[in-house]
Amino acid sequence: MNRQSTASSLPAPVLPHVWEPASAQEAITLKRQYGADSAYVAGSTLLRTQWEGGLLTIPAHMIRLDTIEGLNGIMEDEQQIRIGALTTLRECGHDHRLRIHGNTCSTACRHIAAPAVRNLGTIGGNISSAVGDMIPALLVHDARLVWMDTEHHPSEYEQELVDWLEQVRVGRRSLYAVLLGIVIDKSGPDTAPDLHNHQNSAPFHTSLSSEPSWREISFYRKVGRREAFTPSLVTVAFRALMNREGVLVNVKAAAGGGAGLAMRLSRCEQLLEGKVYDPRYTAELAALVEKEWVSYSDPFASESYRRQTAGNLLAAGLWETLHQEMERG
Amino acid sequence: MKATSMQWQAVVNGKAQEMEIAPSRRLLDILRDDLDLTGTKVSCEIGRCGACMVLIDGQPMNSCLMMAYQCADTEITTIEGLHGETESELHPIQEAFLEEGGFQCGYCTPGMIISTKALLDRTPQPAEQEIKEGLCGNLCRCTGYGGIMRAVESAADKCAHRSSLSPTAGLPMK
Repeated sequence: MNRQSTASSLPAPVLPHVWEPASAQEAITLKRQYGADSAYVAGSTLLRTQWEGGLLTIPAHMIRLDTIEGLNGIMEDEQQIRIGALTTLRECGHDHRLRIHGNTCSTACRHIAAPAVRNLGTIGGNISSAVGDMIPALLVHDARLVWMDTEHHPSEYEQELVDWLEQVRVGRRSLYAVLLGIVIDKSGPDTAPDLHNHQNSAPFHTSLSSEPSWREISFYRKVGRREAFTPSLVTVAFRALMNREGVLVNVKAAAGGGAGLAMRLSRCEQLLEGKVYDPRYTAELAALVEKEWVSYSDPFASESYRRQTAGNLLAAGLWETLHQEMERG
Repeated sequence: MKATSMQWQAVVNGKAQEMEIAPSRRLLDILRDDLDLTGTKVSCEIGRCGACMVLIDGQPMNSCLMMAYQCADTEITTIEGLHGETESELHPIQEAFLEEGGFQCGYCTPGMIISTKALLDRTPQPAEQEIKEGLCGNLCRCTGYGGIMRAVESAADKCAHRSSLSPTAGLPMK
């Protein structure tokens, strides 16, 4: 084929306009004006893979989010950690406050892609993709998303991550809302369990009131086809409080990975809630994850393989973590 | 509403550059096509292989993922910007890769060396796990990584040794 004549017969590529909104409201105005021909752009690491892979066309209008003030950095008050949506994954992974109060999130940030990608990629972009590997970790921290949407009253509002994922699942997510930040409640080694929420849960093997010292146990596990910048096959996260007798309360487990939507595993949580961990739960938990988690098949892995992997990851992760805790005393 | 300017400026390998380019143009294309710095390699173009790695203000970044506006007004270092005490000498990291056989076809080598530079600037004596993590975004299809691991360990020693001899000891080497 004559390369020169082929090249000349192709239309010249249209270069996108790059807009600099000064506020989230301005960004939304631009998005409403240009609709499907536009995209919000933060680190653009995942968008680039989708553009180059032909999954998405490069939009005619790129709407920068880095020109909006206040979307960068991590802040804390007495109860909460707030992460700006444009905070890089690197910064999140290195932040000591997040390591203390959001350990699985911190671990997740250090295991997404490679260091160079984490220097550019943002936590907001990871979440907005709806398939980012941060999401299972944020789910076990009951994370809330802070949005700006001029069609919503009030225009700035918080939404449970789990509720937003449900909107995504049913195709009802807002196409115009700008993610401003992520909020997680602080936790720590001596966080007291919420007794009120356990009135109707499984019976405890020991009295909560007799045990003042509770510590958080958590882990995050990921299985991928390769290191570097590939989507995971399966990602799981787990978080609970445990006392000296080994009673687990406030159990939270989630699974996700690949192009599938992450979800909380409530039946797995119920299995362990209020119980002292027993090795027989290992097989039971793995089997329950396989039943509960909804995944998908693609040319790389079948749904049943993903489910089995998630079950094994969660069960083995819990077993390993508890043994490490016992060794620590 | 304000649009991002076509005027782009940055310091590339110590030299100020100013040009008119589309703000969405990839840094990889600017380096190779506009500035003729072809040591930065094109490969996967989606941030997986690390062949296009450059330093932006000292941090490793995939130039295939980065658009012009994202690196405007920064200091960019490519493989051409690394050298020893004089411009005609090799950087100790380059020497180490040569001596330890840290490459075969050489296509991934500029990216490997840039990532190694970032790693050693941050962690002068990295443990094995730190080397693996620091270079996990750089893929080599030839060597099996044994030579690369040896090269990074050797480079760490060389950099530490030269740094101790240098009148500006303690400062990261160019």
